[in-house]
Amino acid sequence: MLTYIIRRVLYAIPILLGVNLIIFGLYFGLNSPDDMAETILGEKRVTQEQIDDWKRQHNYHLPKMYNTEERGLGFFTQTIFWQKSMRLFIFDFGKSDTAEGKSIGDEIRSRIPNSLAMTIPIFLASLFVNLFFSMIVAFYRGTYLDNSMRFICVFMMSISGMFYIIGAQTVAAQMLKLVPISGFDAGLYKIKFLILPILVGLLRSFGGAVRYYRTVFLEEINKDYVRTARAKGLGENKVLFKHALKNAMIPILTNVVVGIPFLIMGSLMLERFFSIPGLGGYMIDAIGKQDFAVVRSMAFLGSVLYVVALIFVDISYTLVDPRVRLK
Amino acid sequence: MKWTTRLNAAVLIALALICGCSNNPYRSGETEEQTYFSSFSRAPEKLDPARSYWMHESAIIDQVYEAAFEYHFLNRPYEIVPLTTESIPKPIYYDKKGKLLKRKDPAPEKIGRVEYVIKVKPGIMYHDHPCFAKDKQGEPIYANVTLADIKGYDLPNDFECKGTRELEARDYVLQIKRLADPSISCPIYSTIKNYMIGFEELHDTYAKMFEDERAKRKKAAGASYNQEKDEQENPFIVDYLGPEFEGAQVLDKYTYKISLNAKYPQILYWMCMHFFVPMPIEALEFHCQAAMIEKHIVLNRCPVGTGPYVLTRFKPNEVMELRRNPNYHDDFYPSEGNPGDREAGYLDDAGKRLPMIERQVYRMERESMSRWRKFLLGYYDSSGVASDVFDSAINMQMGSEAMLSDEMKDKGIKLLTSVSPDLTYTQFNMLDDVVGGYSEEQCKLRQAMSIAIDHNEYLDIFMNSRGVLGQGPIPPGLFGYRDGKEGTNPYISKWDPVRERHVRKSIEYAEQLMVEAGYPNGRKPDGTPLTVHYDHSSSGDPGFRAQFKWMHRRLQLIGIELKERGTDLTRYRQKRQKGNWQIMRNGWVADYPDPENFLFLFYGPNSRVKTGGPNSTNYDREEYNVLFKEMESMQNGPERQAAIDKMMKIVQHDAPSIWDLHPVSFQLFHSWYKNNKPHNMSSNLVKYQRIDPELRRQMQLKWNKAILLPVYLLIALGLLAIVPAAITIYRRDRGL
Repeated sequence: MLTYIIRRVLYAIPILLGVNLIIFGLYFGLNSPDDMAETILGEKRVTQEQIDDWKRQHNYHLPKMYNTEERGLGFFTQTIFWQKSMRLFIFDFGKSDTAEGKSIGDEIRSRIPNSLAMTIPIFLASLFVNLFFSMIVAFYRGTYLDNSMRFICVFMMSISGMFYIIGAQTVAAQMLKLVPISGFDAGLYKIKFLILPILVGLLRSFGGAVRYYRTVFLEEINKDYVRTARAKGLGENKVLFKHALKNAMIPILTNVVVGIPFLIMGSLMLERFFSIPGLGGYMIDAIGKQDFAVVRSMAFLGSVLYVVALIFVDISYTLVDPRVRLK
Repeated sequence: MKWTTRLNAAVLIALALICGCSNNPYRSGETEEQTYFSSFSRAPEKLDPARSYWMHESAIIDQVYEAAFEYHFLNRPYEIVPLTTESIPKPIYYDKKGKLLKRKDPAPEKIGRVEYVIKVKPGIMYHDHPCFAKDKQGEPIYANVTLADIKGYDLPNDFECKGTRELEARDYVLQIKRLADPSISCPIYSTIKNYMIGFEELHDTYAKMFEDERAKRKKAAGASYNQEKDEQENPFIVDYLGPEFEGAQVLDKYTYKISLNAKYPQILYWMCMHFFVPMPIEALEFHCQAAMIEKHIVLNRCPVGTGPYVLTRFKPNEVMELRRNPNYHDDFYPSEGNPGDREAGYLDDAGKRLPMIERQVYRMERESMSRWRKFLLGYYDSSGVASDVFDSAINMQMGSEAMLSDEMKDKGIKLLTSVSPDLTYTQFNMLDDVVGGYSEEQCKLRQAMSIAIDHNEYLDIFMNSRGVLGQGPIPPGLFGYRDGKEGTNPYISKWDPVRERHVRKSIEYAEQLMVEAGYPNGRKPDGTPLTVHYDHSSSGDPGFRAQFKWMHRRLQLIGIELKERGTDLTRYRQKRQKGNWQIMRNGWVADYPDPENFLFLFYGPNSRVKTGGPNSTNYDREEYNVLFKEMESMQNGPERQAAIDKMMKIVQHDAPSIWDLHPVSFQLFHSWYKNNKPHNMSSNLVKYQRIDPELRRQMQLKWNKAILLPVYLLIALGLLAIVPAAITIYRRDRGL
């Protein structure tokens, strides 16, 4: 397995390099360092000389990919791509391009707990609730309950995420006055601010997830070993939770583990509407402010987390299915 | 634990949660203090007063730092009054040979040098800050600190030892020198260098020093040299005390002198802004240490001033908090104002010591709807009115004043409106062969287009009528603006005495102008339709699409075909720099309440193409330029008004722009929030304001009683659904 992991890690290097190149190309295809300087310094009364000074201070005066004025290694190293993007491979995210100049690593570290405070409860609660309901409807397949639940799921999937947010804020916070509309606080005080986004996160995921898990369970409970278990007189609880659930773990794990990077990266819409200072809003703010340093760091971090999650998915298969071997 | 015990515990926790339900976003007791609650939607990034030019940052900076002067809180037109100084200095004029000119107001061409001698009030202290903390030997405690020394600290407020010192004249001079530092990129450098003696030379000295140092470092590091990283880790320490600088000099502990190369009375307005606040050298030395930079305890997020408030919490993505500065000097609420101020209650607190509010809390709200809802529930003390809630908050009937809706009135909310000293204008490129030029025909073409693009209609469609139709570059409220009928732009507008507002002349008149311009029915002499291009960088903006369609439809009325040329920002900038465009839209927000700040947008030598200046239309009319130079340095009075009138006539005739509108700002305030007279020039207004916390608490309780019945119903419904299902599963499981 170790060989397999090493090989996957080595495969990740060209993938990450490619991601870096694509982000770099896309970003500088749409923006120039002059735009960045003007966005950050402001347009009013700013001179070209000041724009040039800003570019110089932030290394954006260098050529993008190769520097014909330099000899030897400098041909590659004295470029924007090398100085900005290659440092990411040693997880040196550098500092924000905006005048605040805060360390991106520190900012990410300070925002991750805020994102996780919301996403982990959503993740766990939705996993539990969605699995529970999907097993129930699988158990009652073909009955009025199954049909009603399928209808409800499709209905819930058809509603925009924004509706849940605005609806929940209107009903729970403004009309019933049960929880704050939005905001965040330190320590345990944050709980009251998290109730509503967690509820919304749960509702948003419900329809799609229940339908998906229902399909997975239906496939399992129609298999011979389930019929055999029932024929041997096992109760439905044991059949469902011990046998069917265990064998349905591979598609469930794929779905669940691949979702883990998104827990860390936060939820853009929930964070924005509920004013939660997590990682979700960090990237969007950076795009708006033309902060390339943050954009490239966040894209890189997302890619790394995704690659790592996929490796974990593969490893987890070996744990739930003894037939799977990683070579 | 038995399952019944577990169930009981769960029920108890659920009941505790339900009973403790409240939508109050603040901690218990927080709203009972003299605290002002507001929100922000954009995180401040630069709290360094030499760098910031954004209004959302000024709202913090101007409360912590104090400039030498400020604007009177109540008097209109805006009046400069001393803040940290004994008085407002009078200019001292010298001729080109350095001889003192005894005339009070000499002609600009005779002046070789102007001096302002400014006397700082003794006894003003900085707020407590670790940069002033000294040991028994008088040495700074926090010099040469390591990361270990400042572990756990985030803001200066967290440091154990703090000190203060008296404000001195040298602090003002130091800050002026910082404005010339190229690494700071001060936004007003390009303006100040034109007037302050030696300012550009000082900038060049610093720039050369940086270049020499960079070359040295690059040589030492070789191919691995990373300038940005290197300068972040080892920043250049600029010796601000070193180079001699004639533009700003310390005369004694409390006196400093500003020297200009020409008559420029607007310098006093600049000196009301945070660019000219005092900066203690101790703060620079403290924040320039490597460990401080590493921990990001830097001037950009740790302001050090003498102002009424101290920044005590700064999480720019979550919350900011300011508390009253206990060292704040004597400052009192004004005892006089404009007629009507006493009746409006603005003088109820006359003579009281400032600031009256103890604490300010600003919370991040990215969505305007959340902000608005919290305001309605009483959790924010004031609010603007976003377009999406305008109709529910304001009753705007044709020809009448804006009124609050019944819901707002029932809550005791106050509405205050004021015309912002801003200009939104649609520009013509005067260098263009079709829409530019100065011939009578070319002027008539622009006048016809100005009539066709009727911004009264624009205001009704796109801005809920929140604006005043522009008649020229100067906004209402500034010296030089003429109100009512006498302010009408005679070439494109007329005065409607019934509705008491300006309206555009008729489309028939515009068509007549088109004929005189040589484009009858919008056709060129060869019979082809006249096509003009609108250049922009807003392709992705859905709001822009609707506005463009409207403009296109309006110009079609006189036969002109408007086409859009959307580009990215870089190309857009290049077009502007090179003058390769026809029509663009722009805006200008006043820096200070002087007509010069708007009329300079059409001064020839400020042309964007020729000098990179703010005159984007590249308008260059000799008579206007001469009048501008005369008017620029005049004192407000009949002579200046006459010069402005002449200038207005010229630009109104030449129509280098369509004077679209001056926006009207709508602000809502709860009844417990006092002393909020609209002021469009100052950002340090909270010190004058007051909260009635008891009234706020009562209203918040009244408006926010939790309704639990639906929750109980929901729980009951859930139980009704779950219990039969559980029973069925149980029965099936047991084969019953």
